[in-house]
Parts: sequence; structure tokens; C-alpha cells
Amino acid sequence: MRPDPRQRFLESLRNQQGHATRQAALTYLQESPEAGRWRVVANAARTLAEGDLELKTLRVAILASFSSEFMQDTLQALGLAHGMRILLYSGGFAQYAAEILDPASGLYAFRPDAVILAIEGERLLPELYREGQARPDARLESLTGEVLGEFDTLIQSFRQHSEGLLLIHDLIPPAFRALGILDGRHAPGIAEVITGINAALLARTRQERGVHVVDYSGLVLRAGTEAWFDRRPAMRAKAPIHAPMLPRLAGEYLKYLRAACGLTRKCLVTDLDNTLWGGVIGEDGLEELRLGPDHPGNAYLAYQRTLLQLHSRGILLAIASKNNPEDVEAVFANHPAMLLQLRHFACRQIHWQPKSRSLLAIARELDIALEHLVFVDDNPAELAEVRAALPMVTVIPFPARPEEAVAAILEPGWFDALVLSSEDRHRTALYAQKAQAEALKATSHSLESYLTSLEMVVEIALATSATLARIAQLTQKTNQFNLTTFRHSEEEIARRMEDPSWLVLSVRVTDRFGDNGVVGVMMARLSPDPATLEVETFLLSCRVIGRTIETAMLAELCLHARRRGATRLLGRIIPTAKNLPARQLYQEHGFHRCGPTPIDPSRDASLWELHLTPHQGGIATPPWITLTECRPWNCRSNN
Amino acid sequence: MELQIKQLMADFLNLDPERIDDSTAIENVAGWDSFNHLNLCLALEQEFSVTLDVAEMEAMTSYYDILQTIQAKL
Repeated sequence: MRPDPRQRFLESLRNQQGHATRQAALTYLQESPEAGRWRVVANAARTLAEGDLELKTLRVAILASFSSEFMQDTLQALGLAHGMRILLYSGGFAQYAAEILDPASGLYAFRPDAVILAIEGERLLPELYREGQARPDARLESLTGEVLGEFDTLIQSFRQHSEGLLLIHDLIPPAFRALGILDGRHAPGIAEVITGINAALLARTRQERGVHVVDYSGLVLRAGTEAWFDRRPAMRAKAPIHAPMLPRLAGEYLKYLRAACGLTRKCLVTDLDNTLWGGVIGEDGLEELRLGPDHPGNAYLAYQRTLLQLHSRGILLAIASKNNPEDVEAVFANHPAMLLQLRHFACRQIHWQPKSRSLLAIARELDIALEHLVFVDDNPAELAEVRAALPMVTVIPFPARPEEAVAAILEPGWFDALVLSSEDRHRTALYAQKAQAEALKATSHSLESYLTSLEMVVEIALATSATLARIAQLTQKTNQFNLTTFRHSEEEIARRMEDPSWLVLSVRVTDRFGDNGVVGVMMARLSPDPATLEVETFLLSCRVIGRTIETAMLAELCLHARRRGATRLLGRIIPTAKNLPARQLYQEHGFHRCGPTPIDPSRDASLWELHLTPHQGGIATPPWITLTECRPWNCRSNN
Repeated sequence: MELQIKQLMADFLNLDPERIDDSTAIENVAGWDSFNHLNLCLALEQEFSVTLDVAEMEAMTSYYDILQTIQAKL
């Protein structure tokens, strides 16, 4: 006899912890919608041992204008399924104001990390909800003002007494308007007033750190107001929300709570066949793929559009597919309906290895944790393989009915964050640049053709006030390709920029994938007798090591030395634990060792020289680099 | 169906399902308070796809009553 799923779940709880527990709870809840399962998982969540480091503990208080205990099971159960151990406090029935205003209340004694404030419109505007229309003498603004004033008092008091996150439900209009189609015809109707209050509440909390409006009205709208509430009048006071809807409400809260715990996912990894398009490219061929404006191809198109939206929000996209890479490239290049292009994917794993291996490679290449990956696939075997091998990865089965895919990706809100930075939006492009450069490296036939294909432009310029901060930062942070590892403050560098015997140069690198910005620094001083340009600092960010940029930098130094009449370039290498990649620089470029440096013999430092004449000697820029000259020595300016 | 009901009662009222019988009732189960009772009724509704009147909910205060009520609805 097959073991009972309930027993299997309880068994796995006893034997596992952390991510495996989370995975077991999620799978058990997803297998079947039985109500009893929420209770079983909630009971498990309540008895979890403390100190499981892979589960985040969060103290959550629910303050509601109705009795809220009936919401506890689903919130704690879903919390466990999402990697959180949620400890709950329920404020007394409709005691929300007293709890928030009284510093000695049970709420503050609980020390909540997050507080959910769920006040129903009926409570705030009983007359309006009963009559369905504002009093003839009442103006919309005054009603909005009244309600906002009440929220304002609560927000201010909460901010004084707690550091926690405050999540405020917005209001929903009743399913039916008391005046029917005349609602709002002669005076502001209930729908209009509620919309106005919601807008004002959003505006009021927009600048308030840690106070967020829960899009409750949006959630109820998605589910349908009539389906949302328990219709039995006697249930209104006890448990107004229809029980089958509770998992969706808990899911909405978890979007905020997960983000507060730093559990926001960063990368969506998608399968291709029967996921990004209908059909199997290797078997059906390009013409037979289901993808386009008509059913069922439009369902896959909608999925692609969702991914594109996530991409523009700064979520990374990646591919894990068992396919021949040429077949896949042909679809991206030739299928007329493809919305997504290869450039939207920061990383691609297209081969016949297990998917768990692809996910590991993606996490490594993008330099993010496995916990930040969401994996979408239609094949139950692949999903099971990933669940077992990498329980920390979030798995979304691509629905059997492709038209349900958009909701399956967006409803759980795995990618929701509490703040959206401009860095988020650019992150995708940065990673794609980096990954493309890596991929190109792997496929190039030789190093030279790789370097040529990069189309590098190296611009070496005198330091200016605009580049000063970046130059100082590079001297402070760069460890690997750094010949001397002297750290400098902005003030020191600024002094050198003023001093005519010093040469301070910044190195900017652009390639076909984009502008890498200032990634290198050189500082050198001219001394007489014999006229020598002595290199004090020579460094290159690790982002661009291995591209022969250092050769172009030396070539430029030679030009500068000649212009100043120097007949010798002098350089120093001070070994550190980390600068191995830089130590051969002078030797590889024809410098001769001319002894240890007197000032730091204990550190195995060495001195290197290169003789220059006005017409020969010196170093050539590699043919694959376009060197853009800086302004001449005698025209230097420091602005 | 008996097993399903016993399992739900066990989960919501914190009982051993083996030890639930016709004599199990609200008077002799310590954890059977109004809150657990409500949750149990809502779970029964979903488990068996039935709708209970509030009067029926209030009357189902023993294993025997629950079984009778649900059976009558199916």
C-alpha cells in the first residue's frame, strides 16, 4: 500500500530540516487542495525547533476589524512552505486602535517584525456602506480626509513604538451598490469614495519607510468579490472571508513578508520546449512550433511577455534546456513570433546534462545563491530531479493548460521586492554583458580572435575631478592586478594632479558589450638625471584582466615618457598574497631587472627598467585594441 | 468517510484518530473550543464539498453528530 501523503509529510519533517522541510511542505500543499492539509502543515510549523538557520523566523501580528484567528493556519502553513517560521499574534476582535495607540499593549510586548492592519470599509464608513451613497451634504474630500486622519494617527503612533513593517489593507467597495446603477450618478457614490480613499492612502504612505499598502482590493478583484466572502450572514462576524480563499490571502501577505526577510528571488530559469513555446523543436521542427497570435500559441506568447516584464523589472532570465544549441539558436533567430531574444537571457545552459547541473552552473556564472533561483519546467521528472538535488531552488511546474502560466508565475510574487532601485533595472544588462563576454571566450577559436572580437577601445586620459573619486576607489580596492598596492586617498591624488612632475592617468575600456567605465589607473613621477619616468601605481580591475589592456597601458606610458624627454621607464613590483596575476608584467614586456628597491627590501620588491631612445624602443599597442590618446602632456589641465 | 472525518477531527482538535468513537463529544475533549470548532466545520465543508448552515454547525458537537450531518448531505 502506498504510504498516506500525510504520513509521508510528517515523516519527512522528522528526518529533514531547512530547505528540505520547506520543499516537503510546499509539495504536500500543492498535491491536493484538501483543507485539512493546511492544518497539518500549520501544526508542523508551530512545533518547529528554533535555530534552523535555513528557515527565517518572523514575528507577525494581525490586527483586524473582524476576528482574524481563522487566518492563522494558512499563513503559518504557507510561511513554512516558503521558508519562514512565522510566529503569530492576533489582536483582540476590533481592538486594532487600542493595540496601536497604547504603548503598553500586547502588540508591542510581542515585538512584531511585521504588523498586518486589516480594517474593513464597513468599520470606517458604516453609514456609507449602509446607504451606498455619501450624505448629500458630505463632500468626497471630507470623507477621504476623515478616514485618512484615522490612518494617519495609527501610522504615527505605530512608528513611535515599533520598528516593524506596517502592512495596511486598502478598502474594497461592497459587491453590490445600494443604489444600483445610480451609485455615483447624483452624488459621489461608494465606488468613487473608496477609490479616492485608496489613492489617498497610497499617497500618504509613499514616503513612509516600512509602511506599505497591501493591494487587498486587487486581490479580491482577481478572485471576485462575490466568491471572496462567506455568504452566510452569521459568518460575517466570525470568519467573513470564504475559507477556500484564505491561501490566496496568505499568499498576498507573504509577498511582503518574504521581501522583508530578503527572500526575494532574483533569477527565473526557464525550460524551452512546451514552456517558452509549444512543441519540441528537436522533433517537431520550427514550422510546427505553437507560438503566435492564435490559440494555443498565444498562451506561450503571454508567458514570454511575462518574462519580458520581469526582465525590465531587473529580474535575471536564464535558460535550462535539454536540446541541441543550434536548434535553439535557429528558433530565436528565425521564428517570427518570438518575443524574447537571446540577449534577454543572462545565462544559457543548453545541453543534455541534468537540470540540477544547469542550475548550479547558472548560479555560479551569475554569482547568485541557489536560493535566488526560480525554475520553470513542464516535465515532472525534471522538476522532481531538481527538487531532490537542490531543495533550495524554488520550482514552478509549467501548467498543463498553458493559458494558466502567467498566473502561475506572477500570483506567488516570488520576485516582489519592497523597493525597486535603478540598479535593479540595469542589473540584467550588466549580467548579460558579462555572460556574453564569457560565452564568447569559450567559443572563440583562439585567444587572438577572442580579443579581436571584443572590439576594445581603451581610452587613457589625465585624471580629472570627474574621475578622481573612481581613481582613489580603485587604488583602495584593487588587489589582484596591482603592482604595488599603494592605497591613496582622494586628497593625495588631487595633490599629485596639481604637481607637474606627476602623471595621473585613468584607463577606460569600452567593448562591444558595453562601457566598462574607468577600470585602470597609472601614476608615475618624472625625475631627472637620467631623465626617468618612475611608475608608482599601475593597476587594472579584475573585470578586465586577461585582455592585454596592460600592454596598451605600458605603450601609452612610453609615449608620455618620450614626450617628457625621459630615456628610461622604471617600475617596481611589490608582491602581496593576491597580486600574482600582475607579477610578470615587466618581464613579459622586455624590462630588465635592476635590483631590489632600497625602500622595501623585506617584501621581496623588485625594480625593473626599460631604456628608451627618441626613435626606438618602447612598447606597441596590441592590434586588437584601439587606443584613444589622452591630451598632450604640455596641455594638461585638471578639471 | 469515517476515516476522513476522524483525521480532520484529530488535526483540528488535537486528538489521536484511533481513539475517536461515537462517544467523542465537545464535553469530553479539552481542545474543542469555538475557534477550533469553526475551523473544523470549514474544513469539513471543503473536504466533502458541502455547505453547512450555521445552525447545523452549532449542532454538530460530537463525532456521531458530525458523521450523521455529513452523511445526510451527500
